[in-house]
Amino acid sequence: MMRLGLLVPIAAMVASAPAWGATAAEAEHIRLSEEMRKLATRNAWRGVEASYQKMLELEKKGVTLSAEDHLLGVQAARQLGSVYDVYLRLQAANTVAPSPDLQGQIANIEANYGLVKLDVDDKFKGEFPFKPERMPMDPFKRTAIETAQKQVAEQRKFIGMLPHGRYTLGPQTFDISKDDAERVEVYLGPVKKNKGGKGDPMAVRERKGPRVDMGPLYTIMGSTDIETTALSSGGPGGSAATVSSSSSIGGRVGGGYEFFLTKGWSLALQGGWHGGFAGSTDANDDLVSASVQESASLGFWSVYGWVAPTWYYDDLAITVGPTYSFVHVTSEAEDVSQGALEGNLTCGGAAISVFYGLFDTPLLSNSRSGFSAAAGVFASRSMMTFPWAQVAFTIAPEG
Amino acid sequence: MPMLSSALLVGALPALAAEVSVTEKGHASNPTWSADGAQLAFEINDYSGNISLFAARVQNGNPVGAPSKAKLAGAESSFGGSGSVAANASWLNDGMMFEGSTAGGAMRLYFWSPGGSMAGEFLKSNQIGGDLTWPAAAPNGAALAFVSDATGKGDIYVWDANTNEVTRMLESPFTEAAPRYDAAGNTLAFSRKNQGGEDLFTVSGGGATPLIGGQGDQTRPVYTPAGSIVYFTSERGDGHWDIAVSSGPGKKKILAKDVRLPVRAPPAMSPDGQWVAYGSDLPDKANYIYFTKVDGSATVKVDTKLVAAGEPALVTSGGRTFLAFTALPDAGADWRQLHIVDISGKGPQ
Repeated sequence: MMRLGLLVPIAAMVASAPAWGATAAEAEHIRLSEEMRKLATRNAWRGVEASYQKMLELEKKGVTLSAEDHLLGVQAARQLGSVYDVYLRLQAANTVAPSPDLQGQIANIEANYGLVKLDVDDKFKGEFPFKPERMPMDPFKRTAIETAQKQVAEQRKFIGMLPHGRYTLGPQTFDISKDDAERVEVYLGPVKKNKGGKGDPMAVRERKGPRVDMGPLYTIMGSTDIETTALSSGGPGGSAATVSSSSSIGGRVGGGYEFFLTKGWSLALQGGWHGGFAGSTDANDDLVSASVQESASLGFWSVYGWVAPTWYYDDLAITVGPTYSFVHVTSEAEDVSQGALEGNLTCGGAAISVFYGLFDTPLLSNSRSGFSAAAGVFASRSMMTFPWAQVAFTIAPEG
Repeated sequence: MPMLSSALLVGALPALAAEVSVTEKGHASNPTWSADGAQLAFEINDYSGNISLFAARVQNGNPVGAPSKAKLAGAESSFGGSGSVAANASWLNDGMMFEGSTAGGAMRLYFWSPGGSMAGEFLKSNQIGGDLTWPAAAPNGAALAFVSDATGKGDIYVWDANTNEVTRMLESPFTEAAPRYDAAGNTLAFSRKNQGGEDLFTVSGGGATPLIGGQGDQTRPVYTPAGSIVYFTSERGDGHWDIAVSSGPGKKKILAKDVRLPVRAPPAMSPDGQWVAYGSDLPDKANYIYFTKVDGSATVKVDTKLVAAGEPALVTSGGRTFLAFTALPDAGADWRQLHIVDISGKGPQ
């Protein structure tokens, strides 16, 4: 038998675990702060940036960064050419320790820079050098532009802040000015759109391409009556079952295509398989020939079709629309002589999916891969309902 | 431009003068206005090897708040070398260009937008090596001329805003300095050390064209809007500095004699380019700031009631004309101080 004296320090350790964790995070914060300052004195700004990123991770563990931490992050971002990060970090510093100087710097960025998204479609075949009409003398503005030039050349994309002025991206000339209320978006693509036949032709990215969702599924089966047929040879020829409050774990796999509608909108058509296993019934009642209650397990599968408009913005896409499913349900009867009961349903429903693309899909142009959260419900005419939720790996067109 | 007699100006201005002060000890020097007159750059030189650059916000001729000091990014925010030097500001549309010392003691060019950010190095050493000095921006912002001693002597280079590239302007065995663009940004005037003294030249793409030579030094040229060049000359020798104007090669006219040579600045021109301002090196005239028309037709003066007044700088803002200058408060004072005075309707516009 363990002596009580041994339990005391163990109990103390368990009780103090959160505090210990916080102390360790604080200690790491102090270490990173010192490291960041040393790196800054050597103008090792990539190192400062790396330390600042580690500090941001510590924020999730409850560490509060000081204004000085954020300001070193500001200097690193400024040296590395990311004005948008400078802007965000100045705001963070001003939140911790508000000052007229910080507010002046924030106002200075707002007065001299604008948000911009540059996007060169993989299918765009021409040259696409990104150039300012005139390079500013301010070295920080130049660094911001040079950073964007590098990203456009290497990744065909840039999202961030650039100094006000006139620029060209390939054949397109555009302005970033203080009058821009929204982000300036410039897209080079193979398709030219001319709005209403007026103005200059404008290339708009046509979000289109294959869409695939696959992932685990949780489904709840609501109460209803279903018509059943016995699978065993000795069973009755027909029956009805009442099912209530059953749940299942399964999977959902869908494939289809998204068609471009207009800027910001596309239409997804998808079909797939949706199945659940290891469910259990709370009640089951054969209304025709025999009582079948409290069956031990329940399964179902369905094939579905989904027609859904998609709203997208960058890597975020929200798809919502009606579904139509053919559902096959299997239930074991408590009365063994009746064997398993199974039934078919046709269900209408709806589904919503929120997708965020994280990386370019390998071997597929203009496609992003990431994760989505989806939910929906389908129901039979007899109101047997199947609410469900899913977390899925998703491949979708680039928005 | 309406002219006032010097009698009206004498004694009228000191009461209106505002002093721009900082806590650092040293000579205030080289005041330089931003084009809109909203900011005034100046240096504090402690004469121990340290020169700090400041910018004061100015409203209606009065400094607003404490002047801000040019600093570098990083924990070591001061300029390095055996001394810390940040000097010779030249205003652009959105900030200023100036010379600053590095930790290794080299002089490089820096850009600073007061109130917006820390100062940043304008050109990296992989773009152009050597000590970089004498920054001069083209009026349209399309280029910046400067001097580099990368070859062992001073050569004029130009950074092109359209290409983001640096090219050497002239191939010569001489040391060049003090480049300045004309109003169109097409031609540079500069000084070249040859035959012992400095002479003035111009260049607009090809070779250099001699402008003014002769005895002593001819230096720090600055263009007027009409295209003539105003400069300092020591042709009389014995430490006498005069201001002259040249309307073309070999043509010169002395505008003022025995002027107080500013620490770094070229002759101070009025915003309309019609007048040149200066202090006198003569003891009995050292309390005045003088204004002489570039055509030589008139001279007026203002009595600062101070000692050794000099380094004038003029700007027009909100329909008013302001004069900044440095002076000693009295003969026994340790440090020169910076003053601003409103001379609207009382002198050069």
